[in-house]
Amino acid sequence: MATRWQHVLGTGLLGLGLLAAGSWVQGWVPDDEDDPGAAPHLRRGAVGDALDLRTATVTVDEVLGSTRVEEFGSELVSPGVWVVVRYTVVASEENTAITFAEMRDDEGRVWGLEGRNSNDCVDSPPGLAAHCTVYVEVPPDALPTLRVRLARLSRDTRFDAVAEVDLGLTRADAATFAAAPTYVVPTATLGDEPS
Amino acid sequence: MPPREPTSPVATLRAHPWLTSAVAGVAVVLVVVTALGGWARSTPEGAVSVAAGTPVEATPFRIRLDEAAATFVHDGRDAEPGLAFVVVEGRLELEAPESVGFTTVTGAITADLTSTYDQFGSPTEEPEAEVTVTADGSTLLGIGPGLVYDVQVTFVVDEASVPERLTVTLLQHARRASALDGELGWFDATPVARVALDVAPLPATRPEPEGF
Repeated sequence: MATRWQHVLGTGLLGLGLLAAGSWVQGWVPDDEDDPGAAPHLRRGAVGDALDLRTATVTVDEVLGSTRVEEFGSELVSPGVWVVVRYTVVASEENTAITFAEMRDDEGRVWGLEGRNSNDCVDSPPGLAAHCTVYVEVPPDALPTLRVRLARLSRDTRFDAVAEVDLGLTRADAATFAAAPTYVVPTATLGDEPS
Repeated sequence: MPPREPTSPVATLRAHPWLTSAVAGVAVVLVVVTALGGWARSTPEGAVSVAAGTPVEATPFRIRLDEAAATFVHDGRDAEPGLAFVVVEGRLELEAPESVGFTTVTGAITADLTSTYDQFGSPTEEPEAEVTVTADGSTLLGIGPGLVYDVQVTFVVDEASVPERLTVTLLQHARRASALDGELGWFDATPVARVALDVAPLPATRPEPEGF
């Protein structure tokens, strides 16, 4: 007959063994990024292309840049350059906003919405255009291969359609942006833009 | 004298149950700790002392601290009555390829200050750093790759606790999945370097707050 302390010892050993086994197995379990089916569906295009994201159509209208942007009266000075992307969202069947935005270059660098970067967009009802702005600070050497990615959900882009737009910038744009005046970020608007 | 009967190992174990259990327990602990990687040192080289102005690799950042000063006003903001700012000037750069957020930035810097407060004037047990961009005074809530910022790292302390000399500890992080939600992030802050700085003293008098 096993005594009480043997039960305690056995339970403890079993617990430790399971903990060790679980920790070992955890390193072998595939994570979210290992599932190729979960990868975002990239819809690639260029400035001016209307990209269908199923829940909305996204069009990058304009790309601007400066070393200084101003929003809500505060000026932000970048040690690199601010790249400002103006884009239009038209929802397909229900109110939709673009809340995910990031920029990438060919060196594998990714600039998200952390820090001072911002994406200003509003929910747009189906058929009514929302005019939005994302601004991100990047080093000038990123401009020639810089792309913007836009999607519906900022937290999770798995299985979702994601617009990836080549911004078509060049090295010369870095000098142009450096000399540009402060860019005052407009608020997001709905409907036709005033001409 | 009759020859001694050789005892079997099993009989020996049965004869000393507590000793057997203790040895088995120690063996299990050794195996489990080894399996979990618990013998690796968290800071292989330990925190080293570096001189002001020396760049430090504090993964994922490269940080340089130059000088420190105490002040009643920082970026146009007055310290609460009885409190003061200790401001450390330096340079910050992200060496990882993806942007990192606010908690990683502020988690990379601490100091040996006492009687500390948060930026809203509430007492804190540990010094809380606020990192602002020198060029415009904005709070650096995160940082992207390839950008090098001149920054000011600010701590709020009791006016009477402003030191003549300050030791700032820089901490490195490790990239791994969160144990809670599996999200990749920067965790496990460990000291990598200490920078001692003379603190320029407070002005003799506190400036009068500007009226509206």
